[in-house]
Amino acid sequence: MMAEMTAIERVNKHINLEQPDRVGIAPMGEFYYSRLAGMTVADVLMDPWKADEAFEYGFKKHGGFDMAEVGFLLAMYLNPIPDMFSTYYLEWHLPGREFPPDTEPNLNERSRDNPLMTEKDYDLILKEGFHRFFSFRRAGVSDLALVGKMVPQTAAIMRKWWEQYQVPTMIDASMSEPVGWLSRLRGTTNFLLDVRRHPDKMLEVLDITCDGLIAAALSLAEMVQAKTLILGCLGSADLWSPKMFEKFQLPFILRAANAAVAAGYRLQYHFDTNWTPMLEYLKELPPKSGYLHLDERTDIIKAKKVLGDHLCLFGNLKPSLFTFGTEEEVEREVKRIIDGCAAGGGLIISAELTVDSRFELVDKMIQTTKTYGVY
Amino acid sequence: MSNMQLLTDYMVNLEEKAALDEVKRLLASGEKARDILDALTKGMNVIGEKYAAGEYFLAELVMGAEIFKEAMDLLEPAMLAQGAPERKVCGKMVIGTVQGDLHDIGKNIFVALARNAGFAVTDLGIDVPPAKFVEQVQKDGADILGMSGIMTMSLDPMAKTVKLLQETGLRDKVKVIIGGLPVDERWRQLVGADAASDDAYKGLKIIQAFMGVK
Ligand code: B12
Repeated sequence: MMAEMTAIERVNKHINLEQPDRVGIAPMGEFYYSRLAGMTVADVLMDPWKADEAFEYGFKKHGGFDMAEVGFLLAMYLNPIPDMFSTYYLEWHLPGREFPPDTEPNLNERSRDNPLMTEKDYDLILKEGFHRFFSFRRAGVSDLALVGKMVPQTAAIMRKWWEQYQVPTMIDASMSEPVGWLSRLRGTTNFLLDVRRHPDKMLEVLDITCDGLIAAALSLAEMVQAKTLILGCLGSADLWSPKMFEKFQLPFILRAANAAVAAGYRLQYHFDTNWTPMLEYLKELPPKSGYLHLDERTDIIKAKKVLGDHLCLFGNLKPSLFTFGTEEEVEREVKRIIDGCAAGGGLIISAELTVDSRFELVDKMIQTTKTYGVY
Repeated sequence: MSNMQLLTDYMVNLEEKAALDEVKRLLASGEKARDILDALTKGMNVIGEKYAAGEYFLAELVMGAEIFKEAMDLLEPAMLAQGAPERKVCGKMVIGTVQGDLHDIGKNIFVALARNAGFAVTDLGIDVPPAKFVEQVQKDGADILGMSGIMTMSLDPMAKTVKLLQETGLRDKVKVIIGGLPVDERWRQLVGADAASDDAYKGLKIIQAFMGVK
């Protein structure tokens, strides 16, 4: 038997669509790890060292797995640059600030009648450019100073995982595409109406916003010395038709992905909700450029058929399974995905764990992959 | 093609300006507001069917609902003036996303389908506390209470709401349906609901069955 591979080698093989020693396993835990380690969400949210301590505790308790979650706090919540999830631009309620210390951060998209961005703001973007519209209106000086401290800390923790532990990091920084980003500011319903009512104008706004977001993402990625960027996309069949996707979103996702790849980054394509009717389009993403995270709403077995020689697949286990499920159900689900998608490599099992996920169910996912997933 | 058929077609094809202009023209030419409303409703039904068939998506449902709302704003004064009978409703539903949960995309789909199908819906929005649900059920004399929850922690507030319905003596008067991404038969039992679905169209069929609509 060949000597066991390091996690870096294994993940590289999967991304290159070659067959390694076994199927990959990389749960996305965020605050699951903090609770497991006896910390509150507030303890870890503003403190990369604490967050890493919690993650490492969970990583070891589960006997290790294939990716480390390091930069997600900066990438997802505390991103100082206009970004899909940045607390400085959107209406977030944070634990220890608006919320009790052990709750998850809460992104309020705002109601239809009270959006963060009005229709007039589109004109501002068109006339004066993307950056003109933004200011750090929600961030205090102390917040920005905190980001300055977190950036080098995050970079140091990343190096520890890659160099010392030989484990690749999962998300170091984020890249937003304009549809998701504008939907957050306008509210999804408003945004959909805007697109139907003023398609040409919206295409122009999307175009300008896309370039702005790419530039912003690349500068943050450079600051934290990122290797992997998360590129989230919500434009699936749960939102609009393949035709609308093709016109209003696909060109911008491709532009963002190609820019990231050209700058040397790997991508986590974070494609939530139902992509089953639209998988063919994803063949246009740069091949072997990262991994495609699909949640349980997409048929991953079909994705393997369509994209098996194009992109590594990732995810697909339902988060609520780990709060309400049984060990048998978890095992059955993991085996179903492995049976349908493991052939020839290009598969990393994962789930987005919630703070209330149960240890024994998470462990079942990890151990089943490690044993049943051997090639 | 009759004028009413034209209006229905504009509605189905989501031509906002054409549909609203047509409503105004029909009103000015003396058509009954009630008949105009019927034509619009017919269009909404087709939109719902197209959604179920995978031809239309959330974007179209949202646009349809918007046009319908704008048309109602034009029709309501005329309906009052003409003393038109209330729109026939097949059931009254109170709905919202439960406390702590702010996701509403899926709930809005269910609401749009239910309205298309002739339900009178009071949508309480997101982050709705149990007491608010119960109060509204009582106020509306609702036949159905719908609760949406997309996160694991949404189970608790659903169960609390059903408990509060029991305590207030309303549980037997209202059918409870829960829905959302993690919702299944196990949730239904834990919550004490009458029905559960993670699919808006199946949910519609369930509430239609509650009301004896085929
Ligand atoms: C879009 C989205 C958001 C948007 C919401 C925008 C909005 N206006 O709703 C934003 C960005 C604001 C958001 C915020 C957050 N989200 Co969010 N979000 C999603 C996402 C990607 C899609 C949800 C969606 O709209 N799906 C499309 C619709 C059509 O599907 P649906 O909701 O299931 O509805 C269908 C059926 O369920 C049914 N249905 C729905 N309601 C009802 C009701 C009845 C009565 C019936 C019969 C049927 C029915 O009808 C619909 C059509 O068939 C999901 C992931 C996922 N796969 O669902 C995460 C997800 C729900 N979010 C999650 C989380 C953690 C959050 C945040 C905490 C922050 C974060 N990390 O993103 C905040 C929390 C805010 C809060 N307290 O609620 C988690 C929840 C995990 C958990 N605890 O269970 C998920 C599962 C992502 C994940 N995998 O981690 N989110």
